[in-house]
Amino acid sequence: MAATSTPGTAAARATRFNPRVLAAGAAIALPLLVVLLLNLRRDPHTVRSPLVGRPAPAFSLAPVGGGAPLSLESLRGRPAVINFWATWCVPCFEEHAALTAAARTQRDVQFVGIVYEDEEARTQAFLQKRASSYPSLMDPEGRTAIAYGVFGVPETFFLDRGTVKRITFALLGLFALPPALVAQGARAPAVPAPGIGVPRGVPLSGAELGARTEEIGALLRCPVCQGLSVADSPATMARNMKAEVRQKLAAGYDQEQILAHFERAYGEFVRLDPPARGMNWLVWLGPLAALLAGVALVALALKRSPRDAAERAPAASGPSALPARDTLPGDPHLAAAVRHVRSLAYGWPDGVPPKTPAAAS
Amino acid sequence: MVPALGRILILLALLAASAGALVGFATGARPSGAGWAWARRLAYAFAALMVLANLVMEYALLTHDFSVGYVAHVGSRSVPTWVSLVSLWSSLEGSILFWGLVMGAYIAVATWQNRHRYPEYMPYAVGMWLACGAFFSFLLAGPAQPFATVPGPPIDGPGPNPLLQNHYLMIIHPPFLYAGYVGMTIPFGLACAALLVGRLGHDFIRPLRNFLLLPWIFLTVAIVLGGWWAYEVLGWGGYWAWDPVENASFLPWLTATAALHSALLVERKGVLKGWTATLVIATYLLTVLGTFMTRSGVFNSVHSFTQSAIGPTILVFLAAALLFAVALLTVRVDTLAAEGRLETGPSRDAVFLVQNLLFVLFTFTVLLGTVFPLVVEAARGVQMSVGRPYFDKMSVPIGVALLFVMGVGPALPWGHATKEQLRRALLPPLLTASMLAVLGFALGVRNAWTMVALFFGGFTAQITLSEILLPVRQRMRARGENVLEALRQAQRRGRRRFGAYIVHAGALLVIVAIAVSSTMGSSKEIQLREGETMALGAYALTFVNADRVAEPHRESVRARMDVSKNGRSLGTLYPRMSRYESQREPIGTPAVRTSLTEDLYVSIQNIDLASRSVGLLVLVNPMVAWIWIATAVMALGGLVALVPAWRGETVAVRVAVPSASASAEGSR
Repeated sequence: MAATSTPGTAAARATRFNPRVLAAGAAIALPLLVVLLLNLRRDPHTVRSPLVGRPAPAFSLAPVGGGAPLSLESLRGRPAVINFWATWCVPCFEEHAALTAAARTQRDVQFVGIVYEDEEARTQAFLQKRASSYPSLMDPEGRTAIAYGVFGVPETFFLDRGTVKRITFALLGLFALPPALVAQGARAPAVPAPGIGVPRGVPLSGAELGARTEEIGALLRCPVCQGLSVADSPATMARNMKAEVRQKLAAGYDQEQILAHFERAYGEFVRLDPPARGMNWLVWLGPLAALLAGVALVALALKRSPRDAAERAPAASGPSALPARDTLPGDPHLAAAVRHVRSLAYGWPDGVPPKTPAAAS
Repeated sequence: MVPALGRILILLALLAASAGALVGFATGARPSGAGWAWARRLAYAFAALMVLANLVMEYALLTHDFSVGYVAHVGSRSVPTWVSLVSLWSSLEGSILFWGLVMGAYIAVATWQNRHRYPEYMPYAVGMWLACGAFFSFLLAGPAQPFATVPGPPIDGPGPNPLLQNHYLMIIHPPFLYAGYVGMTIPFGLACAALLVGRLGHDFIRPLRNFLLLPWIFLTVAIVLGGWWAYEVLGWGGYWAWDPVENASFLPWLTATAALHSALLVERKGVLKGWTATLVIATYLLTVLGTFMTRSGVFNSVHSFTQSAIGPTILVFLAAALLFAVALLTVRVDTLAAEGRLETGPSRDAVFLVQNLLFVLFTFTVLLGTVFPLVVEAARGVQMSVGRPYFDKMSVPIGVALLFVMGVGPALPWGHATKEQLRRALLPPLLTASMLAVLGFALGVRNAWTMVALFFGGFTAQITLSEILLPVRQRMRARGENVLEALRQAQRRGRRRFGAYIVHAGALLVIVAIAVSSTMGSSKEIQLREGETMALGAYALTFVNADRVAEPHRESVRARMDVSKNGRSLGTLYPRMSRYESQREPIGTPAVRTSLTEDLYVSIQNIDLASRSVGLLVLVNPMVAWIWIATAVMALGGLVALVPAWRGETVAVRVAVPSASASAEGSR
């Protein structure tokens, strides 16, 4: 690689094939393109519920306008449809009519509405204006919504008829399923979902509680925001989640349990720090591997060769391709210019190098 | 009429760019004067057509011509004029039109400046630039058409995204970003030209470096402006969230900085030519990837534009550009043979390589983290997130290492360094380093990484300062000039070096300020009733009252907060919560009181006029102002390093025609 580049076009245009560059380029370019291509079809706003196949989270909520609480337990023995909705949600209006009609015709299926981030008075007025054939429940502090991993409204969950009510299907968006599907039994195999168990840590309080809430909040993604953490986001959902983190910390759950609780509802998506398991090791070890590879490359580039040691004479530094300091080019004009420059640069009289004692003749 | 005119201009631009690209490549392969002249003309034509198309769009926006598709999309009669003006770049198609404008301007300037120089390279370069220009014209003519005719023009439009109307920073952030981003096309063309010609000489590295430095300055400012906007507008109290689109702007900056440094080695020693070309090409490819990330809708981000056919089109261009780059490098990189040799022992050369390694590692890490959710989605079908905690953990060690390297590099000499030289260069700055660390400890710093950052910061600061003053000291000693005169002469003659060290000074300030502001702040969330006071540190804030402010495009509820520090009144802050017609969640605007030492940051979480209570997030962030100031210093340093390069100095050398005797003496 130390050859001087000749100005001749023939040599300069010679095409040489460098297989290492090809390998490195292909290794970077092809996976990147494949990943981007595969993801192009995906709508980043769709989410899949991790609760499908798992027991539905329990709840016991008061209906809109007051009354005895309705619990998940009481829906035992019949398939159920739970629809999260709000009065400010336009698709929910359209859905409401379809759901009301379905509830009238499908007598053996229990329809339940749960109100998401809305005021009771408004919901009551809405329901009085439009007749509803099934109860709607209020969800203060959004706890049930969080437990079901609700990203936005409308979101509908279909539960089977068994004792342990499992969610068979989750639908985000407009209710468009034909009624027949609603009554079908479980399709997905049952996946036992362990609860988060008993608190493993120490109950916190005071300033430490606040600090830890912020810390754990920073590790959770606000599901309805664009990339903000639960600690940073002012959205209602985020504040509800933060309140739940605080409550769990006060009860003595530790960090991993709390993160697992939200992960059960929302999936891995909700953890901002990728948990170190399975495929995620790639993202944690990748930079380390790159560092080691880079250090190896730099060491290779700086490798001492026996030539370097021999050539390291104190006086001679600089590329060997340049002419020595005391020669002159053949062309007389050029030689005169070189001598003039030398006289300026080195202080040699008339640009002629002074005789060294050894070379004195 | 207007939409048709716009479409015609875009089609002509597409024609000019395509023809120009072909002519450019043909002239590069078989040089001819006429070919080069035509390539230039077509380049100027492309630029002129883009400028005209943008002017037509601005005219349509300002006259509220809703028969133009883009204006119907983002225009509105009820917004202030400045909002109409900047709507050009506020949304998808308009921003691509603006991209075309910036690209045209850059191509015109770069072509005109080098019209008489580098005749073997320039046709290829112009060909590459116009090929990129042709792609963007194609986007504008097809998938991202801003000049579509609206058959039944509405009377009024929805206006641009309300978040963008919230702050004047929207006026300057996108133009700076585009000036940086799009500008990377120019060095890309030059690097490809060097590869196609098969030579990267000492002469050609200069325009490559200059046209890398100019967009770099814009991009640096743009990235920090984006952070400033997030800080002042989004209300969560931070300035960088490692959002995919933020990363998209950061990635090319990292490789461009690495390229600027390895270009120095090319210039000085004639080594690392192929590597520099690779870095420059990677910078451009990262800008294309970045524009794909922003516009395809594949990434979940604050900036995400809606999904459309633009995504796949840009992906095709990215694929073509990637494959072209890999092919070009594979067959041509070996023609850029090194002319010299890297110093293998401890020397500045080695530190340059380490610096390059760190920047490329940083690029790889950020790219991996940003793209990883897509990889998992494709492989496992599961959605996961890689967010701020991950990026913060990865970037802190790299940033601190860069801070250290920024000090060690300039301290070492270019050639082989003896042990004595190493000791003299590296030990004294450890004194300042320790002093700064101790000072930090005394002021309450306990975080390990922040301490290390302060230590290295002091180390690098002393070295940088001494390097800036080195020529001054030499001139004072050798020529007896006084300080001011020596300073003036030194910066006049060694501008590039001077500017470079000013950039380093700014960069080290940024890193130290980020380290301090992210670990030494304090925060409090509290609900206050009217008349109540809260305290945070030495500050006391009283919630006086709240009132409504109605504006044509938004309705805000404003809280009046009286602020005092250590008993002394500091005035009033007005954090706001605004409700825009088209958004469900209200958008908060924080109130920030900035001083050199710290910022008092007040943001509303919830506000209720009926119950007269407000939920506040109050933060005290130290040294944040230094981040903005230091970025200005970096930009200034870049300008200082850039400016003299535009005006070459010619020195007249008088050469006497030698007589016969003189030539006999001389040829010894």
